[in-house]
Amino acid sequence: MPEFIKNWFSYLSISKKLNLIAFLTLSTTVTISAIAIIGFDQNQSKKQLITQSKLLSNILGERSAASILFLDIKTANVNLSSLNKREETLYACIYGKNNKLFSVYEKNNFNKCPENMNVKLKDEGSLEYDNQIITISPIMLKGKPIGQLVLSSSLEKLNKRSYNISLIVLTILVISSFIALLVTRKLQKTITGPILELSKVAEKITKNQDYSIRATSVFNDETQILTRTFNQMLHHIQGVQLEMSQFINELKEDSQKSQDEADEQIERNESIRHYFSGVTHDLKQPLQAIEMFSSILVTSPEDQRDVVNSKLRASVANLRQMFDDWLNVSKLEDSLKQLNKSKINIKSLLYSIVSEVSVLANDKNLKLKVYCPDYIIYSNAKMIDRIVRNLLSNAIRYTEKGGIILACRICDSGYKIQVSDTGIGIDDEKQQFVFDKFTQVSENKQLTGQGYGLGLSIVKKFCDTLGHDIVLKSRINLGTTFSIIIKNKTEINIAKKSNKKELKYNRRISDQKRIIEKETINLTDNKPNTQTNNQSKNNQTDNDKKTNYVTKHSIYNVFSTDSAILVLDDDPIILDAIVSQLNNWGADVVGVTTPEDAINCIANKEFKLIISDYQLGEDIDGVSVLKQIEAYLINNNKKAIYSFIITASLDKRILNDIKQSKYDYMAKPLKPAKLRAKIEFILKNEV
Amino acid sequence: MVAGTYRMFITSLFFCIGLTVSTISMSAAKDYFQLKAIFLYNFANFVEWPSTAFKTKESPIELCLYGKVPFSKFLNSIDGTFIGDRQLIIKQYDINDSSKSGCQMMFVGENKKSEIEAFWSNKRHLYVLSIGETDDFINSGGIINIMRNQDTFTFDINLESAMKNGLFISSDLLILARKVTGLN
Repeated sequence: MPEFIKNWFSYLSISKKLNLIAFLTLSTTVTISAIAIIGFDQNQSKKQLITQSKLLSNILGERSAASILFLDIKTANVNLSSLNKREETLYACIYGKNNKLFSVYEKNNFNKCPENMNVKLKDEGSLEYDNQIITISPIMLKGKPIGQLVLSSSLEKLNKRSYNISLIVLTILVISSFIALLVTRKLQKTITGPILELSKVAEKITKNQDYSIRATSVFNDETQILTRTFNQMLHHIQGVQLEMSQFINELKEDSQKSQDEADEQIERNESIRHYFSGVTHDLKQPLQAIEMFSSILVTSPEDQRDVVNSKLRASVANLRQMFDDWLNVSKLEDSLKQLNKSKINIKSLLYSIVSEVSVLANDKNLKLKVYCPDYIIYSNAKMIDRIVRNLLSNAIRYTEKGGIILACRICDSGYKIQVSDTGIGIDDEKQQFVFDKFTQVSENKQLTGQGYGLGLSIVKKFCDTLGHDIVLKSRINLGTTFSIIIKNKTEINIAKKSNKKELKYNRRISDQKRIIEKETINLTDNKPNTQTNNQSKNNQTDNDKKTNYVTKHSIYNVFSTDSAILVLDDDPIILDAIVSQLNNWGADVVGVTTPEDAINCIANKEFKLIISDYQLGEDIDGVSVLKQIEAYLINNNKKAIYSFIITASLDKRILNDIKQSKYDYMAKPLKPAKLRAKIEFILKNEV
Repeated sequence: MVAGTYRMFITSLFFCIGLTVSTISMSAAKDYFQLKAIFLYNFANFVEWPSTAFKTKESPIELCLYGKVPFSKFLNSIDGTFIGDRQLIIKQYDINDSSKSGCQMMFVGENKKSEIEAFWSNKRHLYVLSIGETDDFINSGGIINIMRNQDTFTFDINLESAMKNGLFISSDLLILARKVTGLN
C-alpha cells in the first residue's frame, strides 16, 4: 500500500475507517463475484452458443447432404434459410466436396463466406472472431465427408446480456453498499462506543485529576478487555498517585519541620543573645550593690555594720542565686537539644519534689499540699521536675499567707499538673509577659530581689519543647494557678489496669471524690487563715473582700441555702459522688433515686435547679420524669424549676430524644469544672 | 411397331444429341456423362434395401446396366466404391442369364425402353432400383427417371413402384425430386 494512502488512512476516525473497510470489502467482493459470474456466464453462453451452432450445423448438414450430392443449390438455400429464425446467425455457408462454396445464407447482406474453404473436410471446430463465433462442421453421409457447413453466430446478444448483468450488479452494489453503510454505522458503535467511553473517561480524569473514576463496558468482547486493562492501569496510577501524595506530604512535613527547627534555632540564638545581654545587665546590679555595701561597711559605724552586713550578704545571696539560675538555664537549654520522652510516674515525681521544697514553704509558714493519683504520663522527667520546681519556687516566693496546692488531675485532653497559690496574684496586663525572660511578676523590690525573671521563661520554654500547654489564671491578691496541660492519653492506672470503660468511669468518679476530699481538707485548713486574713484587713475595699473570699473558693457565694438543688440518679454511687461534690461547693443538695421521691421533695421544698440522669430504670427516662415534674408544678401553681439532663449514653437516638426536648444536657463523665460553671451560670442568672 | 418407331426415334434423338454434343464440345459431353454417373452413384446413398435383397451381409450393391449406356465408362470411377458397408459394383446386365440377376440397381438404356414393362413383371427383379432417363420411365414401372434441366439434372420418383419393390427411399432424396408419384 502506498505511503500516502497509509498516512491518509491513519488520519481517519475509527468510524470512518470501519465504514470505508466495509464499503471496500463489500464492493471488492461484489465486483469480483460479478466479474466471476459475468465471465462464467459469458463462457457458458459461448459454449452453449458453440454447441448450439454445431448442432444446428450438423442438422443442416444432414438435411443438405442430398442437396450437395445432387447439386441442388436451391434446396440447400432453402435449408439454410431456416436459420433466419435464429437471431444470432449472421451467415452460413455450405461447401461441397471440392471445398467450393455451394450454398450461402446471409442476414442483412452480412456475407463473409469465402469462395473456397481451405480446410480439410473432416475438420471441425470453432473460433471467435470479430465479435462472432464461427463454427465449421463437416457434412457427412454414411460416414464420409461430403462437404462443410460454416455457421457464423453473433456475440452481440451475449455481450448485451453481459452488459445488462453488469448493470444489475452495479445497481446491487450501490444498494448493498448503502445498506452496508447503514448497518455499519449502527454496528460500528459497538466498537467505537467503548473506545469513545474510554476517551471520555480519560478526558475527565485529565481534567479533574481524579484517578478513582472507572470506565464501564457493556460488551463482552475485546473492548471489555481494553476497558479492564484501562481500569487496571488507572488503579495502578491511583496507587502511585497516593504514594506520591503521601511522599509529598512527608516531604512537606519534613520541610515544615526543618523550617520550624530553623526558626527555633534562630529564636534560640536570639534568646541567648537577649539572655546574655540581660544577664550582663542584671549582674551589674548586685555587683554594684556589693561594691556599695562594701565601701559603706568600711566607713559605717560599728552599730550599723550588722545591718550593712546583712544587706551585703543578701546581695551576695542574690548574686549567687542569679548565677545558679543562669547556669541552670544554660545547662537545661543544652538538654533541650536531647529531648527524650518516657513514661513517668508523676505521683512519685511530684511527692519527691514536694519533700524537698516543703522546707521553703515551712520557712514562710505556708501550707504545701499535694494531690496526685497513680498516673503515668508521657514526658521528660527532668524537664517536668524543673517546671514544677520553678512553679513551686515562684508560688512560695510570691505567697506570704495561705498555702500552695500541687495536684495532678485528668482533663479533657490528658492530664494537667496544677500549682495553685494564695499569693499576690498577677495583674491582667502582665499576664501576657510573665513567660518572657527577665519579666518579674511584682514590682515589690523586696520580692523581685529574689528572682531575675528567668524561672517562668524556662518553664514556658520547657513546656513548648515538650509540647505541653501552660495556662495561667490569676487575680490580684487572690492567688495564681499555673496549669501544665499534658496532651496525651497514655494513662495507665498502675493500681487498676482494667481497660473496661465502666471501671475507668468508676475510677474517675473515685478520683473526683478523692479530689473533693483533698480540697475539702485544704480548704478547711485554710479557713482560719482566711478568717484571720479577713479580720486583719478590715480596711480593704469591698472588692478586695469579695475577691479575697473568692480566692478561697469563688463559688461559695453562688451556692447558698436558698438555692437548693435536686439531683435525681438511680445509681446510688454516682448520686453520692455528685451530691458530695455539690455539698463541698457549699450547695444545698438533695439526692433522690426515684421520680416519686423527686416529686415528694419538690412538694416539700423549693428548688432552683433539678439535675436528672437520663436512664432512670428500664422504662423510665429523665425527659419523661422532668415533664412529669413540670406538669406537677403547673398543676400545683408552683414556680417552674430549671432542669437539665445528665447522660453517659452515646446512643444517637437517646441524644436526639434529649435534643428534641427543651431540656439541656451534659455528657458523663461530668467534669467538675464544667458542672460548676454551668450550675454557677444557672444560679447566678436564674435562667 | 409403335414401340419400334418410338425406339428408333429415341435412338435417333440420342444419337443426334450425342452427335451434337460431341460435335459442339467434347468436354461438355464428358461433364454431362460424369455428372450422370455421379447421380447414379448418389441414388445408392439415399435408398435402403432390405437385408433379403442381398445374399450375405457382405454382398455388394450391384449396379446393372441394361441396354446401351453411353456414360458407362464414366461409371468406372465409382466402380468398387463403398456405399456404407457395401461395395458398389458396376456390371452389364445380360438378359439371357436372368437367373443370375442379383442386381440392386439397374440403369435401363434408351434402347431398352420398350422392354421396360415386361421387364418389371419378372419377379426376379424384386428389390431392384430401376433408373431410367426416358419420359415415361416411371409410368412404365421404373422408379427413378433422370431428366436434363438446363445445366444440371433433375429426377422424378415413383414411390409406389419403389415400395412395391421393397425399397425405402430417403426423404432427402424425395425432397430433391422434381416430382414424386404414387404417394396416394
